[in-house]
Amino acid sequence: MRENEFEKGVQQKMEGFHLSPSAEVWVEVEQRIRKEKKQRFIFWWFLGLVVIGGGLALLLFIGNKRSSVGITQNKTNTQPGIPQPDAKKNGASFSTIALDSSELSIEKENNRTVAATNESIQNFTSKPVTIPEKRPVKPAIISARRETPLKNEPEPFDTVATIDKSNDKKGEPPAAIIITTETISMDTIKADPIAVEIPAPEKKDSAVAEQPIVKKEKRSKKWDWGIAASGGRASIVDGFLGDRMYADALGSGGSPVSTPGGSFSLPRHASVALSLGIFTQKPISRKLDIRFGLDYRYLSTKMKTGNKVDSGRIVNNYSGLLQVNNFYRPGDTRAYTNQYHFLGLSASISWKIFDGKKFKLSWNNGINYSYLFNSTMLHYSPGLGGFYKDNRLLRKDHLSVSTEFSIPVSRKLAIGPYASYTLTPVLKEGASMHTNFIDYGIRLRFLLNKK
Amino acid sequence: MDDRQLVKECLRGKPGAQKELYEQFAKTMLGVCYRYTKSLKDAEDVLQDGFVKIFLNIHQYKFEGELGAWIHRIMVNTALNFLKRNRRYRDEMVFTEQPLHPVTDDDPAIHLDAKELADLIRQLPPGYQAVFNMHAVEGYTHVEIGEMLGISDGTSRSQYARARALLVSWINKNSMQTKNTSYAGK
Repeated sequence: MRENEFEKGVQQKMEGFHLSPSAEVWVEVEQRIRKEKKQRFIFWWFLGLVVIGGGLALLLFIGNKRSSVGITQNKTNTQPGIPQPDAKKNGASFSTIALDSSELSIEKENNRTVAATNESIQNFTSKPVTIPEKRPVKPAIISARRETPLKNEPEPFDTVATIDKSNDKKGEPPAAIIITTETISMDTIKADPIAVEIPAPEKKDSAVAEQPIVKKEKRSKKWDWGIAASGGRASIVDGFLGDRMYADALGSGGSPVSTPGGSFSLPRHASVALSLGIFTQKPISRKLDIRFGLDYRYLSTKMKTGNKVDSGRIVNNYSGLLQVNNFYRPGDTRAYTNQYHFLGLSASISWKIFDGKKFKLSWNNGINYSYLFNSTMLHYSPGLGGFYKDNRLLRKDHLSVSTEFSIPVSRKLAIGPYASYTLTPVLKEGASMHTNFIDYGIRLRFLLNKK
Repeated sequence: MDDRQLVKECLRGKPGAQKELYEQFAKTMLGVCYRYTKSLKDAEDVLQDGFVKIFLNIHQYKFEGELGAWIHRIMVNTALNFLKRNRRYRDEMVFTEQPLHPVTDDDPAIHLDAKELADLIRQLPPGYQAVFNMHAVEGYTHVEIGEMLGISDGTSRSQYARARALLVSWINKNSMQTKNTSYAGK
């Protein structure tokens, strides 16, 4: 077919048609890939933060709810000195409470609890429970038996609490009571009376403080959360594993140095360090707290440069070609701030060194993963004869260790000095000698859900 | 490094591999972009966009079919998006269904070199140019072209027929001029 022949001819001609693109195309492609990847990474990072933050908030919310339920239950069930029989008998749940002759207090359970003594039905308030101490054991056989309807008992009612007095001596109070919170069959109960041995109170004792128990329970279950902010100084120092040859060549003041992998200047002058973040913490023992945090960290260092030159150049360094639209001449006419922006995740352990009434001090040690998402750091190029920006040379993922002393100034606020050292080098391997970030200053921690 | 290895290295984000892949395909792909655009600068812009897409979506290449064909397809799509996005092209890309231009018997033998032929194709109005490239060079059917450009397959056919007729006339004219020049030279 004629049509196909023409098309075949065109196709053959065009298959062999090549054109060489200019060098700038690849430079642009490379830059755009990096930028797009960074944007995607930041997007996912923030999405992750939102998800983690939301998850933590949910956990805290649920944790708080459970914590409050736990505290209420402990008021009736976890008093020291009270034996805890198996809670499930015949499908009903039982609680045993030691009774003092004149005082009885029972925490309402599921809104359906009735307590009865041989003399009267006591109130249902959450009055502190009186705990007997070291009284000779006085056996009391107790069985749940509905003899007569309880006074003031609403109908229908599915909780029974009666006391068998058969083992009582005249004038002596009953030693224990059984409370059921579910409907129970009278036949079943009669067929299976429960015998419980309880140490009977020897003397009227003052109430064992209930509050400390509640507090302790709170401390062990609850995640406290808050915000942390810090301010201080940041610097870049030679790494412990640094290449001494290049470090020595630097001298002082951060003069430009050329390395085989590329060229850069070491900005040695310390400048501002700031951070802001959220954290959550929980006691894992009486002395230790575990803490997790998310934060934004800003570090900066200062250097001197000459005038800025607005001129397009191509720089060839360790990371390849780069189109530079402006650069700075060497000199000391301008103060330039190298800025570094990080997003970080941290995990740490806080040790309460002093936990007295008058003075408290915690020592916090932890690790931190941070991602460098932006920087204005300048590098030196001998070919260019000046300083230029190329964030490809910078390492993005960093691991750091930190230490912090924290002194509480109120129940919510703590303040103290901190220092952090980044274990990973500032620049990528091969791009430079080994240098690391260090920052130090004062950190404030403010607990948001502490009352 | 073979294509599979090259793609795997690119997936690991190795700059060297990305550069190698670019160098392997950039010249051919610039030829493709050149045919769809009116200037070399626009062609390079499309090439740039295309390679950015390729590197960011290279995980979508499932090693089914040739890597070159996958890259070619992305580049053509990028070129078409560029035409739709760019006002200079968009305003001139008017697709109207017209009577089919009869295929004449005077289809010329193409004595032009590739660059000359590509330059002639670029002389076509943008709509004709896109349809001609897609059908005659890339080998898409009119139904596929219709789907890609959002036109009916009938419109694609008529656009193609007119583009082809124009091109044939230009090639014939060019051949005549070449003959006259050579006769004059004798």
